[in-house]
Amino acid sequence: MGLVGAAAISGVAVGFVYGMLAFSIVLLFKASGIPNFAQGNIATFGTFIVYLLAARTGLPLPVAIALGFLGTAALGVVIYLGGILPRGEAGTLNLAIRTLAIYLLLFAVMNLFWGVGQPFAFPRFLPAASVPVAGVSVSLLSVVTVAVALVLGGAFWLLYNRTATGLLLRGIADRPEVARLLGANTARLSAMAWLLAGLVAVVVGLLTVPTALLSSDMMDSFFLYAFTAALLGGMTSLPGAFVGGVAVGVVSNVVTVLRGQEISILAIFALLIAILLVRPDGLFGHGVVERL
Amino acid sequence: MKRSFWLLSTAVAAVFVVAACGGSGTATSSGNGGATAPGVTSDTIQIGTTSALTGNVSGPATLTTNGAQAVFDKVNATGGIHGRKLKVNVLDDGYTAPKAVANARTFVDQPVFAVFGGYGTVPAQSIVPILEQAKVPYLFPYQGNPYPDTKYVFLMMPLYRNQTAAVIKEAIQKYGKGSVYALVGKTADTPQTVQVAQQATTDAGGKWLGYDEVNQGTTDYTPYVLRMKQAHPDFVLVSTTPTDCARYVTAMVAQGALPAKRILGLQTLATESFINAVPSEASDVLFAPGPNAAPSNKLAADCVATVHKYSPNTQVTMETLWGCGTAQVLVYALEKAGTNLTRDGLVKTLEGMHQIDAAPVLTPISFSASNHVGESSMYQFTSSGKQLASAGTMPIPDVKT
Repeated sequence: MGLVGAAAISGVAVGFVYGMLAFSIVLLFKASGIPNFAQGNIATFGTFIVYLLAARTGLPLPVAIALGFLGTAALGVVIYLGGILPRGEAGTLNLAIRTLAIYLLLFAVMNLFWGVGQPFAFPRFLPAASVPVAGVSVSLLSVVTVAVALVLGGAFWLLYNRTATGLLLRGIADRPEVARLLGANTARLSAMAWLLAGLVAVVVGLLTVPTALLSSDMMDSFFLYAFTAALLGGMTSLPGAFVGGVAVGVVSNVVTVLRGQEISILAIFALLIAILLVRPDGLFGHGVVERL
Repeated sequence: MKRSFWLLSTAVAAVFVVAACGGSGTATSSGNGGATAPGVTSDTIQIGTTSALTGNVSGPATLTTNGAQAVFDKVNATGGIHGRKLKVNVLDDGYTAPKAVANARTFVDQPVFAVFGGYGTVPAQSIVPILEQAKVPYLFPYQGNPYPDTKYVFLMMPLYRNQTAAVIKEAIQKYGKGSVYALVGKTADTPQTVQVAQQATTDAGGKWLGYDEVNQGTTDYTPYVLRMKQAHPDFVLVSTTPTDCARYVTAMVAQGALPAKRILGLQTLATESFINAVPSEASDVLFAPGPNAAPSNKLAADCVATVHKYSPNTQVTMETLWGCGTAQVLVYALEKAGTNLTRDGLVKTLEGMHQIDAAPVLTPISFSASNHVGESSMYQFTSSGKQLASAGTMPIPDVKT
């Protein structure tokens, strides 16, 4: 397989990273109706927690990761309860700006407390091995990334389709007013969505940090691509987030190897505009229909 | 008698007015309370430093600042320079141009006598025009981009394009002829760097395979590694920020795409922070020049002792020693500039330095009116088992583009 094929395969792998981050953005959008611009920095924050526990306090990495999940899930809930829920009826623009402020706040906090010494080399948790896939050498990290993304997608499918909580989450996503009238505690469910998004963010951070190295701005370019993926797939479609992520990853990597970085960026955003012109709600999204 | 008194009083007042107005460089220390230049008083010399105390190069940047501060603390503890203590105002630029520009304007307004040190090309490029226009000496930032036609900018390490040519030539001599591929971060000097790398490769009998140009801050380097891998190079030259170099090299290992012979780099690779950030498979095939001796080298002993004494919590690394060495050169120049310290006097003093060993940890330093780059040779470094190993020095001749 030639260069283009290899780039496409590596694009699938990085696309699943974009997809997982996009997934967490869509998860929150469906639960609370706002695009969360802080999601990338939540991922970085969670990765910092794991790093600090493992590298500076000497905890075993699995314990540090477990505590990182707990801490970031708690952070997600705190952000929701402290920054989104109060005056939550203020409108989408107000809430979106709040998430931008949270993005900047988290960035400032990371720089303030852990800014010195960046970037940090994260403790290696996978060997630097590669495996052949369709004649192309693919890093073990990429294989693990795809596997984790598929497991994560499956777990959320089960949650949404096989549990009462999942049904309620779908309910507030699709018909929040109806769900509320039927007695669903939307605040509790939204808090749960932020908790879950925090967990997914840590997964994304851990799968990114071995190659990106740990710094406050580690997720910035990933977030840009992930948000594009979410828009491409449709902000209301969880599977669409993965499809959008893989599409962005493949287009990005293939165009980069053929025409360079600048053309690659141009191609991705041209693709996004084209898709949104043809399908305003993205590839798999659906518009909101209101009864007049 | 009364008329004489008034004449005398007027004359004394006129002397004070002239002295005060001439404070920008022509006054004497006795005429203005020791203020011979902006940022200089009878007992202090104010220096400004803009560096990345936060952000993704803050690790090495902080070490350079700490290394320099140890020297300044030592000088101050032993009486200062001609009785003046060095006061250093260090501001954080986070390795961003806007913050660096704001810091430079602060220094001009404060005012400082000179701006010293700092880390990286991005801040340096952004503040050179401001400092040059304000006639504030800008000394020894950790970067190797050229600033032609400037009077007040002095660099210490050889230019990147000269390092590039030298490291390719030395590598081919040392490890045998072979092909070269390059990854170059985008800067104003990139076209010249690429041209020089290509020329140096063919001049040394090697084969130039091509290059990739990337924006600094790129996080996924896999596509560039795939392009490089397809070319099967013997040598890969990496020339961008330390973080980006580390990301690229880490992606190389992940893709099983290490070059057949060596990874070549500029001074940013001959550092402990780079060695520690990349897998050992990659660090073991490194070949790069460094602007100063390694901590284990006896030439670094003075700096190591200074840092241990005056900044005991600072780790002694290549960057720390760079900060220490360049600060020693600044101190040397300030002493030579004399009591009646002026900015133009400092420039003249620096331009008069020829093959001076002002800092043992650096190579001999020469400046002139037409040459504002101090070092013309560098140390060679390889790495084994996550430890930098010095292998002598190499000349870094000036390459015309």
